[in-house]
Amino acid sequence: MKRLIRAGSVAAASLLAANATALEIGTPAPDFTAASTHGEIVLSRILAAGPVVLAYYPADFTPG
Amino acid sequence: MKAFQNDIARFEKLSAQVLGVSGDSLQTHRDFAEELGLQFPLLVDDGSIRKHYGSGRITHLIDRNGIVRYVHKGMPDNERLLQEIRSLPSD
Repeated sequence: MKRLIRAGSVAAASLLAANATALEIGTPAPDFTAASTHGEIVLSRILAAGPVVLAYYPADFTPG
Repeated sequence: MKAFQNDIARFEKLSAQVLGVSGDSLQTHRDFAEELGLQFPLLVDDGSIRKHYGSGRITHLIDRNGIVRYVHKGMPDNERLLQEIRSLPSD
């Protein structure tokens, strides 16, 4: 049981670490293509029209 | 995402595009967008976005030259974001 708890803590810690990863200010934003509710989105094409607010959130149907 | 929708006209006025992104499926995104009346796109991350941008609750402001200008971890603060967009160079 103790080993299980320890394994869980390690998993939680690595998840938090992954969540904390972000790009540095002043660095290029990697381009990407993704399916969306408005069809296929290519970041570089959207940027041609203006700045982008890329808001990552944990899951649908969560507050915020 | 509801907070972004409430201020969407203010972002649009600054020619800024809001993109919501999570690992949910397209169908779940459609249901969520419909329930909240979201007018901006929700993107499906197959893992390639979080690999670079992180995940959880994190917001990046990217200028039109493709450079990251502001990063916010936690619940987005629209007033701060709008202020950061207004301070971007116009070229």
